[in-house]
Amino acid sequence: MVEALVVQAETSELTRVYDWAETLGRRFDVPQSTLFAIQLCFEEALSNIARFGFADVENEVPRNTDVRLTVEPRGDQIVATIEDHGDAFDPLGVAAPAQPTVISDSDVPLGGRGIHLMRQFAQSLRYERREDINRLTLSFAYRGQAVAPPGRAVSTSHLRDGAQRRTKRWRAS
Amino acid sequence: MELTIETLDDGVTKINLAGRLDIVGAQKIDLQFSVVSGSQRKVIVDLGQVSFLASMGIRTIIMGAKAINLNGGRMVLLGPTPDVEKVLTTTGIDTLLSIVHDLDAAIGVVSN
Repeated sequence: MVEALVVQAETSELTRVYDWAETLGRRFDVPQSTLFAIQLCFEEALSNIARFGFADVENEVPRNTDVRLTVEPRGDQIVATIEDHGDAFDPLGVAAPAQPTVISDSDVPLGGRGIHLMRQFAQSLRYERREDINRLTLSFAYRGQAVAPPGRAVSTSHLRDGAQRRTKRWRAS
Repeated sequence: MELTIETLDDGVTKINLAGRLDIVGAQKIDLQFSVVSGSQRKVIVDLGQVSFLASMGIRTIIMGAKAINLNGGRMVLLGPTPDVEKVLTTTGIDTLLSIVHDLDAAIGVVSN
């Protein structure tokens, strides 16, 4: 059964997202570490969409700011999707952030870790652009399996309809 | 998200955080956290009661750690849960800041 929630592209909606995820977590008996990973990915994705998804100033017409989230138990996985109508953006096209090793290094970034966290906490992450919709599909461990260790490959991403990758989106975070 | 401040011996300050350090929680504590970080040199951040950590929470911690470092001090992270610690190690924060699970060890780190 696919459970869905539609929220607006605003960070103030995150509380509603967490409550929804908690409820589904109990209903589907999702392991705590998996629920943590799902909520983490929802937070990073929604905050990114809210802050950067509608930055294209050339597009002045009123835009659809609905963000549709789904969660579905599928065998030994929980599959989640996040769909938005913001500017085309493939998170898999963003390089991993620099990781200086001393706090005194002025290059230690304040932000920009969200995509990296999503890649590491989801077992797989796939991006599609269809018409004006960005669709992220993520999978997570279910039925007591441990969350996949860091370092495994993520699935191949695809950009459709000639969508342009936008890396600027994450630089300001 | 709740933040309380404890003053220990020898100028050590302990910031106790409780709740979700997500984007909403981070906004709630940012000001208090930065005030302490800007004025203290030996700071222990107790994460034992933090149930969730996302990138905006990391931002709050890093901003504070940078301020403390600029003043010649040190910050140490104490007692994160396994999920929260995984966020910290995944993002390499454990190479920037010490993570310990014992208060005496935390005091030792900031006092060196």
